[in-house]
Amino acid sequence: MKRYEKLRIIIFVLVAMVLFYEINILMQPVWLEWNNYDRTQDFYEQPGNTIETIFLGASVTVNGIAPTELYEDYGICSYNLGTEKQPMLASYYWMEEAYRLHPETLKTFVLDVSMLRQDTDESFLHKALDAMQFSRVKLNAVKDYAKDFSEVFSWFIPVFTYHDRWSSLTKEDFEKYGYNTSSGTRGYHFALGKLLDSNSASEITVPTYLVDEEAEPAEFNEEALVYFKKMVEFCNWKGIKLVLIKTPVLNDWDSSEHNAAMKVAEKYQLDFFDFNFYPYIDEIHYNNATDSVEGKHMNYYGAKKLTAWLGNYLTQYCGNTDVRGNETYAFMETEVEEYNRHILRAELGDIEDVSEYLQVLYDKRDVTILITVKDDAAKSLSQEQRDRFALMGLEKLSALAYRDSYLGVIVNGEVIYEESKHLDKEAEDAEKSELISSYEGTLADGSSYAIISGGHYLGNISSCIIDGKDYSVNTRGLNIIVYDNKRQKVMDTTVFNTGESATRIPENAEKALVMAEGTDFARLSDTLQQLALYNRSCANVKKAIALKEDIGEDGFLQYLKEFWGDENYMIFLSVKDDAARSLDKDARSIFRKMGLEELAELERRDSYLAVVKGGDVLTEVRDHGETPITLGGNGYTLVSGGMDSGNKSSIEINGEEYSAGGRGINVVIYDTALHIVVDTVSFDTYAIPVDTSEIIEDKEKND
Amino acid sequence: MQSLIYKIRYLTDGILSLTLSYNTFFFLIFLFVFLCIYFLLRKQKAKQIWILFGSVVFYAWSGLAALFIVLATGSIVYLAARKMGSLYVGYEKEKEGLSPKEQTVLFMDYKKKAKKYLLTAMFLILAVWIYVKAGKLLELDSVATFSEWISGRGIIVPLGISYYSLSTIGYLLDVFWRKAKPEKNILKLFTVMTYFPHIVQGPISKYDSMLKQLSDLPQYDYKRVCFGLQLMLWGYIKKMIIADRLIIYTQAVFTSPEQFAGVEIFLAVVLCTIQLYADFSGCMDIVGGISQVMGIKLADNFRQPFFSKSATEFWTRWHITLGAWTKEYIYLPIAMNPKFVKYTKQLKKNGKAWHSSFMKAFVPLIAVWLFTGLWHGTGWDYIVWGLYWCILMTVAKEAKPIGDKIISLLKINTEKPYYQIWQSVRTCMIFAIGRMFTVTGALTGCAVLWKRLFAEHRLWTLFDGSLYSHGLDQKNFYVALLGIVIMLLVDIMHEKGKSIRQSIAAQPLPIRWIIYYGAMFAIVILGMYGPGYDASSFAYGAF
Repeated sequence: MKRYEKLRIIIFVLVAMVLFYEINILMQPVWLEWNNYDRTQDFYEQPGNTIETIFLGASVTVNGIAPTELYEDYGICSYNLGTEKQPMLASYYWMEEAYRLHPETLKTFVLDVSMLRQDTDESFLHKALDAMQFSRVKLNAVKDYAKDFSEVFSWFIPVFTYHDRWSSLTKEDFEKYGYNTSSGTRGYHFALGKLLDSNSASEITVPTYLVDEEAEPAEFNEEALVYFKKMVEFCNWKGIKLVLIKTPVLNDWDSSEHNAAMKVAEKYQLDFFDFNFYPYIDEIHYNNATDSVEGKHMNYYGAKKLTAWLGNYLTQYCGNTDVRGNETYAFMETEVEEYNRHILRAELGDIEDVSEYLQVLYDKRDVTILITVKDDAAKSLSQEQRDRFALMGLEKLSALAYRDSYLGVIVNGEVIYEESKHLDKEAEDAEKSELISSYEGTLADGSSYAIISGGHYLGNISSCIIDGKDYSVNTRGLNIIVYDNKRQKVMDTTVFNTGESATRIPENAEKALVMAEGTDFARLSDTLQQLALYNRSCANVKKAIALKEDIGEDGFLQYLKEFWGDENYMIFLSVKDDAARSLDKDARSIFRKMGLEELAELERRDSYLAVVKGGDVLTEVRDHGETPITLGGNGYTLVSGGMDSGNKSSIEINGEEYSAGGRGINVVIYDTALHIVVDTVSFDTYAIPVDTSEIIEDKEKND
Repeated sequence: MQSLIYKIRYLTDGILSLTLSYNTFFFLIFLFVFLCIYFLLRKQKAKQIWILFGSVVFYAWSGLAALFIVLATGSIVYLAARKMGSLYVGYEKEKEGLSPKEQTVLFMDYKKKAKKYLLTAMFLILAVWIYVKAGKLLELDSVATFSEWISGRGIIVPLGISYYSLSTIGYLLDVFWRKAKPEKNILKLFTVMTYFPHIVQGPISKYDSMLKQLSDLPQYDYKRVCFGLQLMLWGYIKKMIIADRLIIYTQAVFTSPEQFAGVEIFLAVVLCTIQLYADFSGCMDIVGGISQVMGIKLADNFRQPFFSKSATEFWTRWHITLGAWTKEYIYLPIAMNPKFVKYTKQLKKNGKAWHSSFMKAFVPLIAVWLFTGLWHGTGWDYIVWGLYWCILMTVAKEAKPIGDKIISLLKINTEKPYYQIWQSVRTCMIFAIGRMFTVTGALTGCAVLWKRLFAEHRLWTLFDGSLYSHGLDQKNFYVALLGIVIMLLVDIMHEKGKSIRQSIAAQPLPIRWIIYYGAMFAIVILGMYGPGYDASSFAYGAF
């Protein structure tokens, strides 16, 4: 072979190898939407022997635990290695991988148990393992899964697996080159939406709070259990604590699954905390309406709650240390800064006052704020707000008049453009388009933007177009678009209706509802009304549980007392068989005082029905005929038959039967605000005398 | 230590579990190692032994038991050929001083003895072959070891049995007819027989020419190696980008034809002919390319078949080596058989001229086509398929005067391009119709195809996107179409006698490299392979 031929072959092969490498990067999906690839890749940026706790599990873990918050509040250095539907196989090998890199500091693994229900799905295994660097651990993981040797190959050469993606490549795939992976989230996926945004109170699942301990434990997946066992053994071997949790997902987790997980935890003597049930659901103050994105994943508010609980637990029971101020962990401060930028959107959503909103952003670097007015933004602006605008250099905004158009641009804390326009009356149609104010500019990353404003008589419009897409909410008031110059993304797009009110309702609905306490229900916003109703449903369930625990078989009167006098409850009573035998004089006298005249007169084997609302006895019927008695009303039908009259009890509401159907007095409590049955119970006053002592004591006290 | 043993075992088990087929990544690694060592070897003998070693490894990968069957067959062929050869040497010695007539008598005597060896060897080869075919017909499982075979779990199917059986029979007949000399070196015969580029799917080589080439292997030549690699690359493009893509659609249609109709069926039939061509000729380019790299010229198996002007011409351009084999070893022996010739002459004398001409044309043809049909498959579909071609060719030949008359009456100028294009299109149609007999795997399926073809036209499926819902989406269809257009252009260039590789070689280096990288990465990205893709075994490897 001639020398130049050799050289040519070498160059040809080298170029081919470089091209092959680049094509591999191009074809490797990174799932930017969910950030699986990046988040796990980011893990390798962590200095060795720094992490004390690792979180593992499916997307519920990814969305449910924010390690940077743990550091900020408790000083714990942790990392969330959860991935979408993470197969147990992947959880196990990530455990090994984490230990490989942090053997001296690792103290705890926290695993969400939901994936014990499923076997290994290849696509999710890819999502979990693709970003894992090549090591013995990854090789073992792949060997475990791959059916043959050639498949092992394709796990390490992405193009072999993903070459089919050529037809679905997007701009993002090309942007991967030089993409900055660090976002300071430490594996947490930030999400803000909430169930309440698109569901009414009745559509949102209410917790049962109590586990049905009788429920047959569900069958977990065999393969998943094999890897779970390996995890337990690994942790025992390395002396690391394994903690099991189940993040709150009311729609996707039930008692039988809880019981199965409990069984597993007991078998291996592990701690298991199920945040779907008492007491943990209350300990973290979980609210399904406000803390869940869509019923399956927690949003930022939910994650904050769970993370805080875990912070406490990890510190107290798992020996996690506070590393804040430790020099080795100086890098965490940068992460916190990045993280706060990442979650700034949530912070912004909670601000009610537009001047405060702008002030927060004004102090931040690397943001561009675009402000446009639609209709009117001046009517309700306070003088204090106007003064703050002036201090920021927003002179024209400070002087904004009723129904003015307004455009403002702030870049990195500097006002670079302001314009306002005023018109008193409706203009002729032909002129309208000329009246609209507009401004065009370029963002720090080179993207172009165009903003438009029209006050009430000036076109009545707001628009903000960045790279061809309109981001403006385009409703009355100050429309604001915040662009993150560093991450090259629109960070927030919102509107403050300062035409109507100086402040707005914060996005954090729970907080907003607390603030609105005392406000008349009808005056609350739709969202807050729904939240109030939802909270009431939860309270009802809790109340029913509490009553069952506190009130004994003789507690008929105490039970009634809980609901008596509350306008929101209707009480239905229906007697079956016989309810009179053990009713004594005291009880009958109290009944009489309550207005339950017929019940006070109840005789052996009488049929009896009553409807009570807010402490008023609406109807009462007593009979001793050969057939049962029936009582109909708006949406309900009651039936009672004493021993001689058919021996039955029925309380049907909106076509459904709720009566407990026991001997004695059957009670159903109906919530008229929520249109739901709160509780159904029966008191056997044939056999058990009614306890009247508490009522008499109360009376004596009052006297 | 134990973990080391475990690792080694895992590695060896893993490697042994890989598939060594032309279109696997593992084959490319195998080939790379094989060729590197091949070029490091300087001596002829060493090269020959290395080829034999490579072929044996390649063959053994598909089952050790099968390798023994092949080597046993090779030994029989070697012995029979040697025996016949020594008989003829004896005859040469003995004929000295005899009169021509006595020589003929003596020769007939020797030939008779030689025939015994020939028939014995042929019987053994055919017996194994028929056993395998019958096994497939009875749908027995194919097994890889003798123990499984003995325990009655299935049949051993030696890789490429249909190909090497024909080649060995051809070689034996050549020796018998004294057209070829018997090979003295058994290793050389084994090398030619098991030569890994041609044993799986042909071409059906003439051992005589292969043996000559094997004795004179050329040294490394940069240009030849480059050309060989380019041919391989082109083969992989045809196979992995075009054929394996088209088969997704055609398979969807042919597995449940009752769900399709009209234009969907028509398209599937057309595409399946193109798919078969891209698949089979792609494979020939791969193996031809590998051989060229080594300096061995394999027989051509395709010469732009779809430009043929008649069915007869088609079979001289499609699967050429099979056509040549049947012509040489079936058609001619029957047509030239003295008894048959005498019989047809007698017919002519008796005034049955047409009858005689028909017999002359039909009898050898039907033998050829029944054989070709059975070679492809044992079901009725392939027998009917063979008959279809046989009848078509006989009718074409017998009706030629009528056709000529019509052409002259209509004053059609057969030299004009439009008429030639019509002829090519007609040939394609004939081939496509032939494919319909066998493509569903049963004659009833063929009937369904015809019925559904005319049941509805379903032209809308071309426009409303439903065409793209059968596994091959729009983008993939376009890639396949682009591939087909490129393949057509290449064939047109070849038909005009231009060498594409020469034209590429004449380009400046950057353009050449862009073409090479483009082709390589087109296969990597657009090729159909990897997890989730399992339709890529070569179509003609099953025979």
